[in-house]
Amino acid sequence: MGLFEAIGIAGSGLTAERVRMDVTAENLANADTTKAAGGLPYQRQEVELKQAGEEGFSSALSGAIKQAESGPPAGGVEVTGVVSDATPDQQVYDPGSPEADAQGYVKMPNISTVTEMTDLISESQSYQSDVTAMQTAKSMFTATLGVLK
Amino acid sequence: MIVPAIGGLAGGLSERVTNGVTGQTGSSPAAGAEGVGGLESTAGLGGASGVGGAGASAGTAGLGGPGGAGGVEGTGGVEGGAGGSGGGSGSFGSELSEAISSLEGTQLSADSAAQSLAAGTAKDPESAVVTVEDAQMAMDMAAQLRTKAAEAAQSIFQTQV
Repeated sequence: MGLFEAIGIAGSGLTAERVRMDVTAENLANADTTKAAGGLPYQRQEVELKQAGEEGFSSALSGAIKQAESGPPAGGVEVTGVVSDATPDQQVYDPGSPEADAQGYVKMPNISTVTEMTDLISESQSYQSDVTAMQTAKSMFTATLGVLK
Repeated sequence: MIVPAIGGLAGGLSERVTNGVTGQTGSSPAAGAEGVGGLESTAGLGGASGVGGAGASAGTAGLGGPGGAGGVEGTGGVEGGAGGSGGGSGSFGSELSEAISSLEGTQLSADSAAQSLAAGTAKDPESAVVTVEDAQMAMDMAAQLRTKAAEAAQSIFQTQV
């Protein structure tokens, strides 16, 4: 990336927020799904984010040297994976349902629509702020080029 | 040694501008190759004038070249002769060719990103946007540097003798 580091970093943020948005949409769509993988209720999915960069001793050492020379390393954010939320399923009393157990309870996914909606807002705002960071970096660069005119 | 930059950069720029006008993504690699080729020929000319040590021969070569860019290259030859360093492929030249080839790289990846975006095969639209922005900004900077170098050449041409 070199010259335009900030734009690449903001871009990685955009990608991460889009993946989060995908997962939230999946959660919302499956809020009432009682038959997911293995015949169990759908389990809420969450995105794991990580600061981008290499792992291991040698890269940590060279990173520290680099940091001493020219400021902190910058690589943006990356998605390491999508994991299941381990919260127990909700038990809803609905004896008329064909999926009710002997006591009349139906196992529903561990999804709260309110949580998903607030996640949605947070993702949208983060995406916006990444776009703003990208635009600001670009206008800074353009302003610098304007000096040459 | 700034002046030879103009010829090479101008060659590369005009190719890219033509590219942009026609919007032909397919023709881009050939155009890029020509741009780099132009730069190499400039370096070769500088080397020749450095060995010859005479501005006149370089000037003739410049006149023989097609159009205004050739004239600028000739002036580059004069500068090389005055410097007397000889080596046309000096560190500045290699720096410049590196910069041009990286510019070329950004343009090509922007091309392929735009193409995959248009074809609907892009898995990650954000990075396509970043790539295109990158290419545009690198292009802007190269254009500004070219303008600045052209201004410097103009002020040399206007020297009263």
